[in-house]
This record gives sequence, C-alpha cells and structure tokens, in this order.
Amino acid sequence: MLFGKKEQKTTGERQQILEMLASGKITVEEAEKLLSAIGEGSAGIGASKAVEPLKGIVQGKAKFLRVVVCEDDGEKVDIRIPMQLIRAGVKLGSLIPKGLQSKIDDSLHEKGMQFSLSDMKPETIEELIDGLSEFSIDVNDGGDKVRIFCE
Amino acid sequence: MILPTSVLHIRIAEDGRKKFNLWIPILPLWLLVIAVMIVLAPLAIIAIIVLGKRGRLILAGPRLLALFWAMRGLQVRVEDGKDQVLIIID
Repeated sequence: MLFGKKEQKTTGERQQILEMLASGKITVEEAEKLLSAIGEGSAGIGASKAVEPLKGIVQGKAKFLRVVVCEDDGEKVDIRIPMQLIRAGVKLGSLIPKGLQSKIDDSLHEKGMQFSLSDMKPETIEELIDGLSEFSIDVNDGGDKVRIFCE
Repeated sequence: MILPTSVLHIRIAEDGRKKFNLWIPILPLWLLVIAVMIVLAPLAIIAIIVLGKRGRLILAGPRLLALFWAMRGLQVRVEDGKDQVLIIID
C-alpha cells in the first residue's frame, strides 16, 4: 500500500475541502484554515499553494449585483442589476461636464454622502467591480432582512 | 461585447394567478435607432469638430444606447403575499 490509513483520510478531507471551495460553499480563507488544520502544511505543500489554482474560479468576476429585501409581513423585493449596467453608467457619467460634476458632488455632500462623482472614472471601474466580487451586506432587523451581494 | 437587449418581459400575478403577462420584443427598436444614428453620424462628426470640447456631449447618444443594451439581465421582482410583479430585460 502506498498510503497509510491516516494519509488516505487526510487526502479525502483535503479533496472535500477543495470541492467545497470550488462550489463556493466556503471562502478561500476558510479553505486555507481548514487545510492547515488537517495538517496540509506538514505534508510539504502549503495550504495557500493548495487553494491557489481554485482562487481564479472562486473569485471569478461578479456578473450581477443583487439586492434582496424581505419584510416581516411577507413583502419581498429582489433586484438583480448587471455589472455591465454599472460600467455603462460610469462611462455615460464621465461625459458630464466638470462644472456640473462638482455641483452634483456638492449636493451629495450636503445630503451626507461622502462620494465624489469625479472620482468615478471608466479606468478605475474595473478595480471597483473586482473588489465587489466578495462584497456582501446582511442587515437583520427583527423579521426584516436586507441582503446586498454579488453573484 | 455587449449584446443588445431583445425582450422586455412584464408579469403581474394576483392571488397566485397570472393576471398580465407581456413579452415586448425590443430588438426591432434598436435596429431603427442604429439606422437613425448612421444617418445622423456625418452631422454628429461635423458638430463635434465645430463645437470642440462641448461637442463631447454628442457622444452621449451612443453611450446611452450602450446603457440600454447593458440592461440585459436586469430583473426586478416584487412579491407581496400571493401578488407578484416581475420585470425582466433580456
């Protein structure tokens, strides 16, 4: 026998973790922790190295931004916004004259939104969308729930 | 590459029953818009040359078209008990 029972068990567990990671049930960080816990590090291959090939699959570019609002009384709102729409919106927004952009920024600041329209450039939007791929907000208020995430 | 939106689907259900189900083909609309844009293109080029920086706003036309095309996949679903409103742009 090439492997002992312990090694076979570890290989099975390792495969299970990688499958969970590939199917999106756990995050890359969680997979790294689990692999470290089962002694992957002592086997010669670091946990980070083991999950590296799957990072691209798991952290693929998000295609949609989802907003789900569930109210206690059964009312539900589910909105799916394509990321392409955000990209196209930013490109269109970049055509707004600078004078007008600063007026919009001032109005946003007056309303308490620390957001500058002039900072939203088509060149930087890809970076923002990449960052959104693991973005998730969960708000629970009694029976009311708000969930914002990317998929 | 952004593919144009082709269908607008609106569905309204009351008490779990379909009350309104509408499929609107919007692809022919884009063909018409593109034809108009091609006809107006020479005028737009002249306007951009004459107006200089201010002429940049003429580019809003094609970008607005791209914005509508980018709506492909947009979905809005509102449910209240057995009542449901669904809007899909595909």
